[in-house]
Amino acid sequence: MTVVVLCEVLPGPHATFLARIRAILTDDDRAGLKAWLGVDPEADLPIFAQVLADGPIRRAIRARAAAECLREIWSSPNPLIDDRIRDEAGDVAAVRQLVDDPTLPFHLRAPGETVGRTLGANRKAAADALADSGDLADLVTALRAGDGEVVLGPLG
Amino acid sequence: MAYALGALAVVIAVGAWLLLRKRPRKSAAVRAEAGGTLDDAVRIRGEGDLARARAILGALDVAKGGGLRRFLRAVAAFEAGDGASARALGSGTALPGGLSSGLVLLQLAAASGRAADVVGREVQSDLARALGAKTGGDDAALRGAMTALLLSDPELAALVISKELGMPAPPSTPRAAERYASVARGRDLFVRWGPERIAAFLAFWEKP
Repeated sequence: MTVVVLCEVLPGPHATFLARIRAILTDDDRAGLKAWLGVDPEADLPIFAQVLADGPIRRAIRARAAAECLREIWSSPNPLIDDRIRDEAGDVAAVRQLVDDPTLPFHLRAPGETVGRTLGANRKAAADALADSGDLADLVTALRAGDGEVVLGPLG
Repeated sequence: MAYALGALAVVIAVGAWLLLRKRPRKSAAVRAEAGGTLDDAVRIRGEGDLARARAILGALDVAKGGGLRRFLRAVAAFEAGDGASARALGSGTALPGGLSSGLVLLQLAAASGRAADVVGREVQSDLARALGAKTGGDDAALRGAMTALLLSDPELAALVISKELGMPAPPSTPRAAERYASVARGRDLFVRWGPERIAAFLAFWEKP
């Protein structure tokens, strides 16, 4: 069953994760990737060209990022909940970014999925914009519960 | 006699009309030049025929207007020593064709492979850095720029991986395609024109 989750990005672990993935990609560190994630990159392609493909490297990076950098704060069993949020978004940028953010880093998104994020200062604006949507009350509460960066997307 | 003179006048008139009809007129010449494309103009200028390249660029600018056509028209005028015509194609400090100086710097960085010093400025765009590293054949710089692009705009990174490096990548989006094209088209033309000549034009343009 597809579950859509809202996760808070943990700043410290995420910074550590970013430093590590940057070093591996920049140096094309194949031994480092293998030691970190237990997967072997293809020999004839630089690692940076392999991380977007829906394959073992992408899945391992995403699983590691989810385990180390994200904390779930809300979930919905409705796989179309992002459409429901989109309907409510109107022209509120903070909500639109929550469901459609093309700049969301690759390690926080599942291949082919529509996902987004809302940066800390916009959480309250997103919550206010969704406040009158009765069926999204739990999401509004989760958005109001903090001021850190959150990511919305499918689990797994 | 009068009849013969009249007939002669008709013959002369018809002959003159036929002759005039075959004479190439200026507007026809312009239309012929307008048949050239922007790529034709760049190629012809590369072959050394700057005057014909200017004619094509001028016709294209009039017919289709603005953008890189007018910008390169101004560059060609500058190269021909016609700085006044080049300046007349811009408006105030705005670059010819209404191009933003920021975009032209990105295109030039991508064409020259010198993002750290584009006419005395440093370009921060990950896309321009990646394209520039590709142009310059600098693998380490390419890895660094692509890493930054993957973390800041993965859809755009996918497009660069696919189009520039010929490697498999997920399908991209219209938004990413538009961003990529805005830099890549200028990069392609500037590479063929000679990035150093574009830089010289920018330096000329920014002179008070």
